[in-house]
Amino acid sequence: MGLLRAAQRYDPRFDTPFWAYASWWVRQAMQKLVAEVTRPVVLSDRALRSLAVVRAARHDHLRDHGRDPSRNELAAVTGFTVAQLDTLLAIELAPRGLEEALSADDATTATFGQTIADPRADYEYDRVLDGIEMQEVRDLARALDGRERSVLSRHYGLGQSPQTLHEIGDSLGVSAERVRQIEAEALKKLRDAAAQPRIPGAST
Amino acid sequence: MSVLTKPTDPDHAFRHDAFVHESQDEYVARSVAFLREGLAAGEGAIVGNTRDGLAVMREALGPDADRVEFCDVGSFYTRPARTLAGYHGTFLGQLQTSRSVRAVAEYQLGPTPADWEEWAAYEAMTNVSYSHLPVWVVCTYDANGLPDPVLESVGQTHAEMLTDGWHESGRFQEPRELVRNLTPEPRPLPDLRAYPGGDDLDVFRVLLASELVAQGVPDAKVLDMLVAGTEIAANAVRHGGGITEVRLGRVDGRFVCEVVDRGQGFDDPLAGYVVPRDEIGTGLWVARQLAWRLEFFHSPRGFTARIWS
Repeated sequence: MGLLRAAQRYDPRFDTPFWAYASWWVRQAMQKLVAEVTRPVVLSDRALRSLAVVRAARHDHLRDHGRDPSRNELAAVTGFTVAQLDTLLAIELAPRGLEEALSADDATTATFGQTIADPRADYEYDRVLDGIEMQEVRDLARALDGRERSVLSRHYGLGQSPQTLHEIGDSLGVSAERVRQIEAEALKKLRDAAAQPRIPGAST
Repeated sequence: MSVLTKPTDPDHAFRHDAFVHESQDEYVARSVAFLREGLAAGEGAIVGNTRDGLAVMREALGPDADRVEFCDVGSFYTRPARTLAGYHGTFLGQLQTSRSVRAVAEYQLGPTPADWEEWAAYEAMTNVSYSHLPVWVVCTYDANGLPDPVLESVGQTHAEMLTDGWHESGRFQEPRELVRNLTPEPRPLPDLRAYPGGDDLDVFRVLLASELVAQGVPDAKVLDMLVAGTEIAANAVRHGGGITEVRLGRVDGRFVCEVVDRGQGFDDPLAGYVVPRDEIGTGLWVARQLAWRLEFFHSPRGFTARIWS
């Protein structure tokens, strides 16, 4: 394929020997083929060349220092930014199937996919857990009577602007101290409800 | 297939063992035999599993199922503190009519390796949290459905394991040390906003509530945080020499409140995870129940309690 492309594009007016021109196209075609069969995505020629630069720098560093270079060291040598390097190095990683076994041991059933944390999935998982707990929290709030719920909501601005104990007391026709006592009682009820042992949705 | 058991001493402390099964048939056969032996001795019986697992056990127990409490773990396997409370309530329910209880609880796999460690820590906590209860729990693990790291942790958190008989796991670790090792170090949260401290709990709650509401936290969660925050702040005032600073903000989508006090603090990885006895430990237990996560650590600011909503 590379040879054909070279033949199509060769222009003798530039005085470049055909073998030199063709070898570039053949190498490019082979790189593309290797990329296609070893990676999950097809890389551009530019990306392949960049990868070759990174690989060479890594090899040189390993030879000279006896260890892999850090990302910063690689960036300094190659001229890429660390972000660019991260992208290139990620491409270099060999793809693995999510269902691939974690070890060669036949007895294990753990898969590679089980070790991957998907932040978005984690978030959704947290939301599911939150939802389960929110239901129980609402149950806790049921321990309060209407006046206690109202005092907490008004003092702490739940669904409305917050009010002082005096303002709440004036509207209820009681003293600020009495409002404080109602609030303290409400908080104690919530605390007791949380401390009380719960029998979960079990049937006998 | 028979199960080899040892007699449960009703007056004996909590027992927490494990059984790794190769198939559902093995799980059912041994679990049913274990529970039936307890029922014959007048003990209470509990099965903790998902709905599917409960259905299988219910069928296998036949008429005996009427004397067994089936606990759908889906409702409280959200985080260790809630699970400890969930099983605690279930144990107490059974102990109202029985001198002792046997329970078979199937392990529930979390989605990430970090979750596996958190739940391994939970298993370690279990050894301490219920140590005053006459309950024998056998945790069951599916050998063919769980990642190797989970299966490897079983021996660290359970003193004995059932194979052809009961054997010491040989790898059991002191629970507090194991929990300490499995608990991630709290990371610095430099972007929290700092507010002056003070010992007036009402002022603290008004500040906390105003930030929670401003951040759009749902009302029910605001109440949770107010109660949890009150417990933490009261601790700081009572035992920590007073609150020097309060830091608030949102991190990773969750609301965070830090309470910094003047005291020496404490270093107990199980703080708030041990079932309260005679009201001792109730405050931190309540805070753990209501907060998504609690962290305690020493920082240059002072001893810090961090509450995640």
